[in-house]
Parts: sequence; C-alpha cells; structure tokens
Amino acid sequence: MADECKRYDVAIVGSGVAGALIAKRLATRGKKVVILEAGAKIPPNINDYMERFYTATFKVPESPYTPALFSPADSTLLRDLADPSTVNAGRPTVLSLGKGKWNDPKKSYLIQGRKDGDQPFASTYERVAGGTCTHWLGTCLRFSVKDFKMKSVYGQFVDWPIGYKDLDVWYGQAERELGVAADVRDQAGLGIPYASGYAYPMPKIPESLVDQAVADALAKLTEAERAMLGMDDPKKPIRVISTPAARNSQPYGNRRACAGNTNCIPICPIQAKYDPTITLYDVLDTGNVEFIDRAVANEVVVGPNGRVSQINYIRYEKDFKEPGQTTRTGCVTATVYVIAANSIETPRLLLMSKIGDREGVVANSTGLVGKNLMDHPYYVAWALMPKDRPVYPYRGPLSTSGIEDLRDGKFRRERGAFRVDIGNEGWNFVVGGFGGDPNITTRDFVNGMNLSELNSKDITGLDRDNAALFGAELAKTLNDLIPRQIRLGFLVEQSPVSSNAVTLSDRSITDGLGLRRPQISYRLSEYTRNGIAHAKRMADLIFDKMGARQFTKIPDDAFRFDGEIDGKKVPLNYTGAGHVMGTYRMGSNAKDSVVDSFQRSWDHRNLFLVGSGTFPTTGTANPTLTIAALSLRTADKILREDLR
Amino acid sequence: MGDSRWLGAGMAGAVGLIGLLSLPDAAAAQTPATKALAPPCNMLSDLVSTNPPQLTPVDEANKDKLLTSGLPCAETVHGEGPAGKSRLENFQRGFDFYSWLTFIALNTPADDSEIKNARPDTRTKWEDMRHFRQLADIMLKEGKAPQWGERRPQEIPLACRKDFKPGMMVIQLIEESFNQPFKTGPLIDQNGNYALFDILLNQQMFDYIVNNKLYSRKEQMRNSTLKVDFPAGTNPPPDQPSGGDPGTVMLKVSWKVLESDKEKERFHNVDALISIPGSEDGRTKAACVRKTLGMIGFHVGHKTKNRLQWIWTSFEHVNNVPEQKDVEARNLQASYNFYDAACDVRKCPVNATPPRPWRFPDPSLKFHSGFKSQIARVTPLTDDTKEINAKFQNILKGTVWANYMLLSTQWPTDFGCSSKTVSNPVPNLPPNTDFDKQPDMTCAPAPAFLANSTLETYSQGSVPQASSSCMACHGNAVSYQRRPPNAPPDAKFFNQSDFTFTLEKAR
Amino acid sequence: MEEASMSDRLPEEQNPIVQNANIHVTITYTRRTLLAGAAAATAAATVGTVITTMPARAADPISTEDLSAFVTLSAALTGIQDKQLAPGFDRAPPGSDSIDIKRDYFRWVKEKRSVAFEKLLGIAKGNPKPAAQAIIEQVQADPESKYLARSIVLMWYLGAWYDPDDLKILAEPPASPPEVSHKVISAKAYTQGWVWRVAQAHPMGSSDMQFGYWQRKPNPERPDFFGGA
Repeated sequence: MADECKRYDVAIVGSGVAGALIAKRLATRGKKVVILEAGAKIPPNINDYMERFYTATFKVPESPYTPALFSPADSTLLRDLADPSTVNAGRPTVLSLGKGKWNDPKKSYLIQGRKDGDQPFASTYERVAGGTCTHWLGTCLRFSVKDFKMKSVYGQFVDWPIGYKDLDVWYGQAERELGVAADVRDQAGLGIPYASGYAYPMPKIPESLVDQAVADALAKLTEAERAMLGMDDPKKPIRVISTPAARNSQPYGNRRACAGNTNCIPICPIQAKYDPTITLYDVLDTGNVEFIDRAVANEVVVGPNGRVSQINYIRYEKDFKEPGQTTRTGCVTATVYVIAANSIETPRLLLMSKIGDREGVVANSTGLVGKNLMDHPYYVAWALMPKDRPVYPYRGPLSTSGIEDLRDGKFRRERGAFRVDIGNEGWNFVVGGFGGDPNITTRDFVNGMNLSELNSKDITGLDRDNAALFGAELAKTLNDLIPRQIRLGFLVEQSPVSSNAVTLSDRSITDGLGLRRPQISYRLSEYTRNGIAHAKRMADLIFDKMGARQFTKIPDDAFRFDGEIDGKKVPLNYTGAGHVMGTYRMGSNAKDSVVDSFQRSWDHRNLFLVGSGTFPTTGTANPTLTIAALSLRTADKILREDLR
Repeated sequence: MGDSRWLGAGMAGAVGLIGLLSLPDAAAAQTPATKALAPPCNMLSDLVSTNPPQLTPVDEANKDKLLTSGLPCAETVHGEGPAGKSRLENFQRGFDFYSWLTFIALNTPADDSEIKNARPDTRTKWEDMRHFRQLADIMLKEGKAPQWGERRPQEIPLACRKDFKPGMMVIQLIEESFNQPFKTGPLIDQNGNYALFDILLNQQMFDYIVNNKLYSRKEQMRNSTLKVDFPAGTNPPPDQPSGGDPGTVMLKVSWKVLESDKEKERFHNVDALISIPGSEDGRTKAACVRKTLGMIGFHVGHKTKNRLQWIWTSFEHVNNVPEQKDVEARNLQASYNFYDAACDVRKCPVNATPPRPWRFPDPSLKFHSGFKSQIARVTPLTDDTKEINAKFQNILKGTVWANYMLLSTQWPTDFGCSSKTVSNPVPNLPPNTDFDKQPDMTCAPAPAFLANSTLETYSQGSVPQASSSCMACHGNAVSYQRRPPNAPPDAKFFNQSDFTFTLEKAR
Repeated sequence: MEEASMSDRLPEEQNPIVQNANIHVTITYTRRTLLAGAAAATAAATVGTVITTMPARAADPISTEDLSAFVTLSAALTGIQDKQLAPGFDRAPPGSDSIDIKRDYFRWVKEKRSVAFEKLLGIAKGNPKPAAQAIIEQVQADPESKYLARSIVLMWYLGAWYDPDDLKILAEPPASPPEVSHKVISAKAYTQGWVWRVAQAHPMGSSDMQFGYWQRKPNPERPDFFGGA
C-alpha cells in the first residue's frame, strides 16, 4: 500500500497558519513537502471573495469563503442554510448557531446538544487554503509567564510542559514571519519578559477615537475599583494598550499598510492584515511543495512498527455532493507526518483512523484525543455614548487596542481571567442577531421598529417611540446615534474539562463524502462562568464611567445562562472568539498528554499534531501567535532530528 | 556641461546642479542635446472652442501641430462637448486627448527629431536619463543619495560592465521587475519569456525625493512632520506663456523580449542590458544579458494643480490581448502577444497565473515550464476611447507608434475635493493637498476601474477595492515615516506618500 | 514540484472568466462627486466641427423627467441633498455623476414595483418641484406608497433591497410572521450606501482613506450634505 503512495519528506494535513509556517520552514531548506487541504486552493486574486462578501446579506466571518452557506446559493433566508450532509468538506458557521439550529444536524455541521446540559460550542473555522486565519482579526499577543503555569501558581488545571522562556525566541520569529506591528514599551507590566532590546518589526497601529474614550473612562477608576476589578496592585493604572497585530503599519512583505477598511473579519480587501495564503505563496515558490486541494484526509495509517506509514485522502470536485458524484482516493507517504487540521478536525481524523479494526486509537493511548475542548468564551457588552461624546465607530481596523492589565492576578484562583477587546465597529455584530448594524438601526428608523432599542423617545428626543422617519429628520437622527455606538468584548479564560470533548457522530450522520462529522459536548465550567460574571461587572463599571447607557441584551437562547454577581442572579451569555483549543494537549509525559512540547505524538514518533489543539490551557491571549511560535519550534525540531 | 536650455526651464524647487556637475564629459559629448519636455507647455485640448463646442481636429491637416506641441503641463478639459455627450463623457474625452498628447511628447525622439520620422528603435525622451531616471538608480543600497544625469561608470552593475555601451538601457531586476505589484504574478509571452517591468521618475519627482532625503529609509523614519506632497504641474499664467511647469511625472513601462527582426518592426524597442542579481545564498552568480526589448505597456502618472490625486494614463500595444467579449464570440486576430487563439480553454485557462514557483528569471529570461500566459481584457475600451485612438493612430501612421492605443485615463472627478487653497498660479507654490481629506481621499475616480493587460493582468475586474483601480490602490501608498513616540494624542501625523509606492523602495 | 497539474484542474476552474461571468464587467464608478467646473478652455487655433443642439441621450430608456423625479423623490425621502445623490444631474450638459447609482436603483425599483413606483414618481413631479415635506406627506398617505418609499430609502442608505411587503410584515407583524430578509443589490450598491457617510465613516470593507485616519476625527466633523425638511 505504502509503495503506491507518492513519497515526500513531510506530509502536512491542513494549510492554515500552522501547516503553512511549518511547510515554509521545511521547504525553504529543500525538503519535499505535500500539503493536503480539505477545501479550495488559493485563488489568483480575492475578487471572488470580495464580491461574495459585498453581496452577502449576512456579513458573517464565513461569508466570503467557500463552500456556499445556503442552498440555493443565492438565498438570503436562514431557513435555506445548506444541509451539512450535502457538503463535501463542510464547516461550522456562525449562521448555524441560532436557536433551534445549533443542535439540528440538518443545519449545524457540528453535532451538538446531544447531552443534557450541553451548551453550544460557539466558535467556527474554515476549511480553505489559509484556514481559519483567512478571517482572523490579526491579534498577536504573547502569553505571559504565568499563563504557562496555572497549576503551579494558581492551583488550577495543569502546567504547560514548557514556559515562556522556551518560546521567547520563537515568538520573535513568528512576529517577523507574520509582520506584527506593536510597541514593546506598551506591553510592559504584563508579565511578558521580552528579550532586552527587542523591537517589533513595525511600529504600532495608531489608537482609535474609541480607544481614547475608553482610556478616559479608565482614568476615572478609583483605587478601590481597580482592586475590585482584579489588580493585584490597585495603585497601578488599568491601561488601554495598542494591541500587537499582524497588520501592516508600513509597507511589509510586499503588502500595503492598513487603510482602515474596518473589515479584518471577514476579509481585508488589501491584505494589509496577514493571512496564511501569504505564507503559502512563499511555500509554493520554493518549488518543493505539492499542494493538493479539495483533498480530505480521512485516515492516518499506522504500520506494524507503530509509526505512521501513510495518510489516505479523498479528493472531490464540487463543494456540494451531487448524485452519483465521483471522488478519487489517494495516499501520501512521508518520513514525517504533520496534522494541522485545527482542534476539531484533527481529533476527528485521528478518531476516524483505525489500527487493525480498533477505532479511535491512533495517537490515543491516553484516551485524551478530543478531550478538553476549549474556547475563549466571549462576553460582549454594548452601549451608547452621551450625546456630547461621539466616538465615531466603523472606522479603522475592527480593533486597535485592548485592556490587558486584568489578564492575570490572584483572582485566578477563583475565576477565569480575561482580556478586553475594544471594538471599533460600533454595534455591527451585536445588535439584532445576524442582521448587523448599521442595517438594523437604519431599518428601525425607516420602518418604525426597535430591534436596536434606540428607537425610543427618551433616546431620540422625538415625540414617539418606534418612529418611522423620512427626510432630514431620519438623516440627523442616524447621525446623532450611530457615531455614539460603542462595544466592548471580554475574552474569558476557559477551564480544560475532559467531558468537553470532540467525538464522532453516529454513523448515520455524515458529510457529503460519507465521513462521520465531529460531535461536540460542551459546557462552561463554574470557573469560566465566574469570569464572565466579572466581565459583566467590569462592562457595567466602564460604561458608567463613560456616562454611556448600556444596551447589552441577553437573548433567550442556548447561550444564555444564569450567573451571580454580589449574591444576585443575573442573566449572562457568551459567544465564541473563534479560538478552538485543547483537544490533543501537550504534556511532559506520555500518560497524561497526547504530544510532547514539540507537538510530537508520544504514541507515533513520526507524527506531529500541531495547532492550538496542543494547548493544555487557554490563557487569555488570542492563540494564533502562540500557534505560530510552536509551529516554528516544531519545524526546527523536525529539521534537526527527523530530517537531518 | 549639458544643454543650458533644460537647466533653466522652471523646475520647481530643483537643485539639478549636482547632477550637472557630475556629468561625465564623455557622455555629454556622445549624446546630442535634448530639449526639456516642458515648458513650453502644450496648451492644446480636445476642444478648440466651448461655445459652441468644437472638437479639435485630429487629422492630416492638424497632424504636425499635434505631434510637435510637446508635453501638457496640466490638463485642459471641459464639461462641454458635442450633442448627446454627457458632462462626464466630455471630461473623459478631454483627458484621453491629454493622454495622447502626453504619450506623444514622452515618446518624441530624445534628439528632438520629429516623431513622425522616428524608427522603432529611436531613443525616446523618457528613455533619456536627462529626462527620467529609473527607480533602481534612485533607491540605492544603504540609502545613499542618488545623482541626476547620465549613468556613471560605477553605477553600471558589475556583471553588465563589459557589455555596456552608452545609450543602452540597463534594467536592474528586482521582484517588481518580473512579478506584478503585491506579487500577483509574472506575465509570460508566447515565446515563454518573462515580461519585464520598470519604473521611472522625472526630475521634479527626483528632486523632491532628494531634497527631502526620501531615498533613505532611515531619513524617512526620522522625518515625522513632512507631508509628502510632490510638486504639481501647472499651465502658464495668462501673462507668461513661456512659464508653467509639468510638475511630477512617473512612468511604469512593460517590456517584451523580442526575438525576431519581424517583431522589432512592430514594437518600439530598445537595446537593453538586463542585470540579474545573484542569489542571496551565493549559489547563483549575478548575470547580465543583452536583449532587444519591445514596449508593450506604458503607464503615466502626472500630478497637476487641479488633480492632486494625479492623472493616470495607460497605453498598450494593440496586439497584446483580445477583449473578453471577442474571446466569447470567437472574434480573434491571427496572433497576440499574450493569447493563443488556437489553444483550447481547457488547456489554456484565461487569465490564470503561471504555475508556481515564481522565481527570479535566469539569464534565458524564459519561464521554467512551458507555460504561456493566456490573457484577455476583462473591461472593454469605451467607444469614445476607441474613436480617439483611431484618430491619433491615423496621424502616427507609418511609425511604430500607431501600434499603441490608449486604454483610458483615470482622473478624480470630485474637482478640488482635496485641495486646500490653490489660488496662486505660480509654479513653485506647494500644491497644498489636504491629506486629512475624508471619507474619500481618491476624490471619486472615473473610470472606477482601470487595468493594463500587461501590468495589472490578474487584478482585472470591477469588484471594489479588489479589482485594479489606479487611484484606489495608489491611495494606500505610505512611507516609512513614524509618529514620534511622545507626541500628544491629538497631534496629527501623516505617512501617506502621495499616491506613489516608490518611497517604500527606499533602503 | 508544481501545483497539481493541469489535468487535475477541475472543470469550473478552467475558465476564470466564465466563473466571473455574473460579475458585470461594464465600466462602473466608485464615488459620488461634487463636480464643479473645470479650467476654462484655452486658446484654440483651428476650426473644428460645429456642434448644434443638446438632445437627451438617445440610447437611454429612462426619461430625464422620470430620472429627475426619482432624484427629487429620493432626496426628499432620504434627507440627503439631491446634488449629493446625483451630482451634476441638473447641469447642462447633464450627467457628471461618475458612479450613476441612481440609474441602477431606478431600474431595480421599476422592475420590482412598476405601478407603485410610477405613482411615487408622480408625487415628485411638477414645476416647481414639490417641497420635501410635501412629498413626504403625500407618500405616507397610503400603505402601498409608504412601504415602497421606505424600501427606496433603505436602498439608498444600505445598497440593499428590503421588499415593501417584507417591511410591512416587520412593521405590522401578522400572527406567525414568516422569515423575511433583504438582498444586497450589488457590490457597487453596497459601497454606495449613504448610512456610512451619515455615520461619518465608510462602508465596512471599502475605505478610500489613509493609514491612521481613525486616530483623527472625521473631516469635516459634521456632515454637510443633509437636505431640507
């Protein structure tokens, strides 16, 4: 069997940020690499992506990309969401998270809600060339020292098998690869010990007017309030800090500087924001890489010596399954295998694979594959600034700054920490479900509705609620209100819980290729819920300092839960940050982890499982930079040991 | 040394003396004198009168005047025109007329002989280093200051020195010489050769760069307060017809390797040395190869007083590619530079980028696989532009210049949208562009999209932001200028580089 | 090694031009203009062809009267000045609008609600042009006109079509309201939406501003394009 497969030095499943960076390191050193990408290949330009985005009714993160979300493709009705069993290489989508959809296999690609008490796993991903970072925000924060040591320092969860020191150099290399704009001095005091004299590749992205308004509010906090919020030293200020981002602040990598298109998610029209297709171009230019698109790896084959001997894949033609469709099978064999298919698809692939007739045992002697699924549950709060302090949202990158000072503290013994991301896009994705602002607010004032909750006379100064306006009155009302929209988001640390897991669906539930789909069981821990409760507390306080009137709504859906603040029950909710983590954790020994710190499988020594699936804990930093750093460290290991 | 006529010709803020003093005597002695492109400014426009509107004839009777009046220093356009034409169409025709005059002036023989007698390989004004300089010779290693004038011996790439003769064009290959902007892809002709691209700047642009040390990245980083604002072209004031100044002009040229004598008759061509750098790891040595290059594409960017977002002109060789609708209707010519009518669409998908890897050309200048680009023009030329092309090609009949056509001229329609006050017509006055202009720094370009089939091959289309538009893209250009770290939060700083990407090439 | 070879290329990929066939490729334009007079004509030497009168554009099936009424109607309903919605429309010669979205919108609405649209246009016709307030009052007089007018406003503001019947369902929901939605008219229309300018921003995904602008207040700081009434 292995003799018939095409042979390479390295076979990589997945062309997201991890797969792309590893491929680049290996291919530029002359190694022969094959990349199996489940979805479509890199298009020659982004015309199609942009056209799809511009004409999308629901401008959700997945809107520019393939496969199409609706069936028929040009439908604008949510009831026409495509049935995932008809999609050859499907993926979870934001649109399928709604009430009655998240737990309906005919709407949701992920099978969810099977267990009592399950809550929706709210994050999604893409299966196209470039992976999910095609629509990431670009945030590139390093983990802090303590993020790696939750057990030792706070008695929570587990420690990572490595620490900040092991990744410092790789963080720097990752920042150069992606092109990160930041000011080292801003990041001081966050427990991140940069190498002395370190400089980011590009100067920081300028702060927005929204950032300035939040900073003004934070300056009004009292010492007691800062203590309450979680500062170990409440004398220190809580700052608004420019967020390090893979976003050009000057020409870099043959790409333009940011022009503030306010569209990072889902797509930057000028590629000022890094996305992995940029690395994939470099990869393809080495001449050492074969890129096989529309190829879904469906089996990792282990030989009698316990090493992986080949990877089988199915190649399909159309995005949607057609009656009598023909697919082709293929296989690749290599010295080293890297699975970089994200923290849900990677365990899916491993669980689908067999050794002999035993299923679910590849790389899984610990039984941990698929377990400890995590996200950064994201609590969003929004408000309206006072009339005399518009902040002019919908300008600049989607977010330029955040509040990082509360990512660590003694409170981590009891509740999840969070970082705060300050939104520059007003109420764009919070109001009216998936409708998006300013559409919702405009429709409210034209059609006499009030989904935004702005159309009441005490806010507008008009003589009636639910006013339907025409003419200059309409224009002036919208001009009065929209520039005052503000939104804050809280990315909360999530506990690793072994019952939060990815398994395989029942055999009757498949995708278009006939493969079983990922099944999720997921529930927020008390630790995380307490973090979310505290986030609400902080949102209330900040908005109060701003004199802003809060409009945060907790709809009655599966994301809602009851929390507690000061002994009182409060409704809370969460959504997903797009950070899928934890399902093949790294550790220092083969008994309680799936991979070692180089992301090498303990069970099969020529197999690497990479990406945020190896994170034992989530920290409060967005994962991409750490994924990148770990990937470069893994590539280096492969070059030094496996492919000498 | 050098011709004193071009020294004194009203250059805005110029310090051309440095270039003059270092002119090697040998070079000056070999190349004949050359008149400045302007002043005097070409004041012709598409109308001879506006009330009633009368079109300027472009015919045999008017030919000499049209071919020898020189470079327009600024556009002269009108909203009036023939019956049935909209205001926009009238302006567009005026700009297209201006573009033809510009094209003719730039391609006039450098020795001031008449373009109507030019041979295909007659050196043009823009190819003469007394009028334009190549970008590679301006953005030097380690940010050294460049010098104007003829190429000095030490400026010739090492590998090219043995073959170099004065008058030869030298093209130093960088990524952008063979890979279209933002690495969108190389273009491969029907002989398997890479198309080559080059950028040139006129003296006004060069002087501004030198005076503000913009050739050095370090100096750019230090200069927080400069608002890059290149000098604008102005027509002479009414009482001073010999005045005016063309302002800033930048060019982008695309070339095709010519392999046969027959080809050399159909293209304007140059005897060129192509300098190929060695690889970084030292495994490939630097090389220099001599080729005859034929011009296939020609962009002009011209900043003028009333069009502070510049005027964007694009010409192409008439045989480059078919229009998409002609492909669909199977209405094709016998041969094209970048399209094979005989190749089936399955084997030759249209507008596909070449297969990777995309590497620096080797001295053969051939693409590594047998691939040949199969390109079609997505956006057709308008009837008005085709009409003006036919007229000008007619008066250029008998010269190679009749084989070129204007695609369109992109211009900002929102007149004055970003100027502060430009009331003084004296040429040396800074343009005073308002770079804080919101929400549209490009001031409503028309047409919205413009792509040259040889220079923006793979970004043709009409998708906002994604498809090629000169001004939408160039509006994103920035320098390496930095905001000082301790600047107060409400202080304003700008790093826009005034619609040119050349500043980011500073080293 | 190269990418998967030509034979692996899938049929629908092989002609990217065919793929893009649903993207209209006629020349379109981006932004509205405030087109003012250009430099005056300069000295001319020879005599050219004499031009006589200025008839309406022959090829255009939309009458100037209708288009003008549409602009008047739209300005009244949206509160945006007519010369902003359709720059240079009332000049001679007309048509300096490089984007001409009004024409796209006119055709779209006519196709969707031809009869009701005629009625609305009638409200905006007349010499002298009716005042904005008068137009608004008449439009609200009956539900059909009212909801179509709202659709037109949303079209100008958002570049999307919210069908009048759907708006009625949303404003006066029946017992079990069906799901209703909206459709973006085109990529061009999306980038021409007025709500973004009213918000003193730009359409998300289409910025013609420069790096760092978000650190500065909008310029001008207050909109200068609101109409009367």
